[in-house]
Amino acid sequence: MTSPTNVQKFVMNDVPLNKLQDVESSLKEGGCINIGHKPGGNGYTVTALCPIHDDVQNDTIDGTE
Amino acid sequence: MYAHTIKLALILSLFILLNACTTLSGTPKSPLEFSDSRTLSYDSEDVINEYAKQFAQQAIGKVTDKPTRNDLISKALTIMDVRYAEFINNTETNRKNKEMFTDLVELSMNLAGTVVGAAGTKTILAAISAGVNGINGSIDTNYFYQKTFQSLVAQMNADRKAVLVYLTKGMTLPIENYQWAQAVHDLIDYYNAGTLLGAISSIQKEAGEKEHLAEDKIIEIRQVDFKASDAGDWLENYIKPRGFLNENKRQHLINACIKLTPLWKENPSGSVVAEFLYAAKWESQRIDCKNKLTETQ
Repeated sequence: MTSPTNVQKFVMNDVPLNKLQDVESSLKEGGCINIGHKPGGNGYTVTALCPIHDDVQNDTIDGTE
Repeated sequence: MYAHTIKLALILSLFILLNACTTLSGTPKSPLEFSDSRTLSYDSEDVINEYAKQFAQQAIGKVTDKPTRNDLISKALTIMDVRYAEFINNTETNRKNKEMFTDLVELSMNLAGTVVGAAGTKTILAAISAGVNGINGSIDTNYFYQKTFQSLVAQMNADRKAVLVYLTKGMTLPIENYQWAQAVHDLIDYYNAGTLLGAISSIQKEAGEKEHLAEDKIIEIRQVDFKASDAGDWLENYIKPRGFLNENKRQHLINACIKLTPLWKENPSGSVVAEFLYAAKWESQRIDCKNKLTETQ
């Protein structure tokens, strides 16, 4: 991962209660901020602001270019 | 005896109120006061008397050469820096004195309330005590924003430095490129940067700009639906054995699986792992990934 240049608003719908913590911690581990959830649909809607990395387009499977 | 105590308490309360009002101006004393457009008066305290006098004599005059301009700017900066230092020191000292004095009076009132007998007198003393406390709280709330004074000082320092850059850069320029009128304008900005109102205004402005910047940076909104799956659970346990994240396995997962899917190019963001593990649209890729990692184990 490289330094972020922009931010994406990420929304995941229908997250069940027993997976809420896993989803949110995974987002946190990815460097996302302002992670929150609210009831909606068939579960919870999780939202977060996540950094977008701009120089990964040419990466290969082992991380080299 | 009781009447005497009450009178003393009232006098103390009034003193605190007046003392607070005289010390909390919110701005340092200006080194220059333009009483009208043609007349310039100046402060003449000993430490900066001579500088102030020279500056005042020439500030509204026509300065046509670089050495004179720079000499006047330097002297004006000295005046303002001295005043600013006095302002910061006095304001902080007064704040501490006020707090200490208010605490003492409040304590005295409470103590007096415990030794006097009449219920009415106790009530009056308690009311005065509450009033003293209330005055202190009100002043702090309105003028010092509780404990944010140091933040305001930091903002004032930063703003002053920012203006100082213009001034010092201007002093290197010839007189035709940095005229005296512009220098005076920048000096006034330098003075205003050292006021509480200037600091508050600057903080509000920066907050607005940062909010605007944050909005600009959100370049897209990505929506996905969650889907529970066995493959997802398996991968989750793979990168979070016993519930704790294993950074190496997480990185391996990203390299080995996610980069083989369209997801990596589609969404190279901090949410990529969460999306791969839990989003419905990547279920077949999750199963492939699980099989691939199982084979390599």
